[in-house]
Amino acid sequence: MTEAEGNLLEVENLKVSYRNKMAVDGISFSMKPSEVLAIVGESGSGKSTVLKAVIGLLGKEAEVYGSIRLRGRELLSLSDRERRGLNGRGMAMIFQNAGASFCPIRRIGTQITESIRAHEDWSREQIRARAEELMDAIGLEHSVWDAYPFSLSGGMGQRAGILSAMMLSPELLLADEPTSALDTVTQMKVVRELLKIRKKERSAILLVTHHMGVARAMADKVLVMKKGHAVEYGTAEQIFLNPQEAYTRCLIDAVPCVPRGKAVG
Amino acid sequence: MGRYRGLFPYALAAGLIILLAVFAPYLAPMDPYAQDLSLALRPPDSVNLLGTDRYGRDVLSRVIVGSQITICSSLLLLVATTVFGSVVGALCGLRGGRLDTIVMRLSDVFLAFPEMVFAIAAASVIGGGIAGAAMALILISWPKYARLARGLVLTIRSMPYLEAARMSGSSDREILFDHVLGNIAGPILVTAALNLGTIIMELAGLSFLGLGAMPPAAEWGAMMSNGRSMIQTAPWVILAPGMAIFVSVAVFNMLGDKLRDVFDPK
Repeated sequence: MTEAEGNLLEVENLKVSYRNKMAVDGISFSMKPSEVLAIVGESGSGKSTVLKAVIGLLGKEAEVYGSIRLRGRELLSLSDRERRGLNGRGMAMIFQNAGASFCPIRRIGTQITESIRAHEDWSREQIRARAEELMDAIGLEHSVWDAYPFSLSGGMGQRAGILSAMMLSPELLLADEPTSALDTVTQMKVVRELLKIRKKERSAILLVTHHMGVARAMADKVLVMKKGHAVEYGTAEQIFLNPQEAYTRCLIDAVPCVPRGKAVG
Repeated sequence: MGRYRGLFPYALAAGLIILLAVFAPYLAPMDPYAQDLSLALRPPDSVNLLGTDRYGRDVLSRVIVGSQITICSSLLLLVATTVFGSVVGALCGLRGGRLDTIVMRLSDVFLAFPEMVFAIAAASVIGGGIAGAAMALILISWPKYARLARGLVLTIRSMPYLEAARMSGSSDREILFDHVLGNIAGPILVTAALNLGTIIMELAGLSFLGLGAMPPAAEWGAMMSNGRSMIQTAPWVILAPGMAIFVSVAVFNMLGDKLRDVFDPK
């Protein structure tokens, strides 16, 4: 098996432009199964655009070039329907404000049940049992299932987002700034829960964050981006202990680091 | 709970008007179509509480039965216009592209004409009495709901829950009916409640001009039209349906105002 064959996700020379303005220019990286790759950079660096290109959430106005392959399957040539079929077991996403990823007028459980049934022929009991297993794993009260999104705190909303994303044990979990809307204590709890669930479900995580502490606590590999370009790409040790670029050093120095061992707890 | 306090009297009054309209044939004290020329133009008394018209018909009974045509037609018209306009507008906001451009330009055409003038023209072309007048009003009223719904959808289109729904495999139809319409319903309902008074007046106006309900139908606008020549000699003939229109429009407008306070407490 070649190195490429063992990859879960391969992104090659990805370019995204909006009305001829380049938002992402020539990004390449790869991920192995159950690996965590963090894309870091300041606001406007294009990291969320990369994530949206992978999951297929860029609007019609975006022009996307290059290649994105999941288990060798080219995603950019898939139709919307094929793409949606891939979500769920193949890929799932945790949004920056996961509580807002639930429709405000419908109960959490109803929404999760419907999204599962769009992909799998599970009974309501099976869905509920799987949800309770995950809720126990991430420390979420079972009453959240019958709650409306507006009644959840930021941390609970984020955990509910993790619950929804992990229901079908996706091979690749995309997390867009999953901790940035939370206070520092809740941030660390969410990081711990993400790592715990990753260990349990063996999912790879593509993490977008501007929080270097979170990246250091979670990532196996790091891609540093600035103004749509890749500044540096390597293992977490290479990037955090021996950064080659001044911009990377600047990012690391700008935010107090959280020691890796403490974060995982 | 305080937000709902002011709503109750108007909701009660509107409910009573709607009940009156629904059960009008059972509530009318006399046959609204029975003519007796010997009783023509009798002023209000203990037998005919609101007097009689030029054919000796009881005005109170005609006003009560007239509520069925005016209020029920206006309500049906409002529901049809609101649902059609909102679904079309929400679809345009959600899909964008060519559909949005074509439908919105079409709505611009409708909105460019003065509403009542366009309604008169449309009702004249369509013909067919009250049904034709209703069609004409649907034709002129849907664009404002389409515009409103489209604008509301544009504000929520990039909300994470719609992206999440799209990502989880929901079709455009499921997104529209499960997630979008429910979330934009508040302002649309308020607009609809505020618009009911206008629709009642426009429908009565078309009937007044002879483009709506036809004689001998007891419809408030048509009753006013028939009594306009007697405003000085037998004012009760025109005042009774006029007051009915005034009270109904005022109640539904105030209900709309209160609903707006409830849905948008800012």
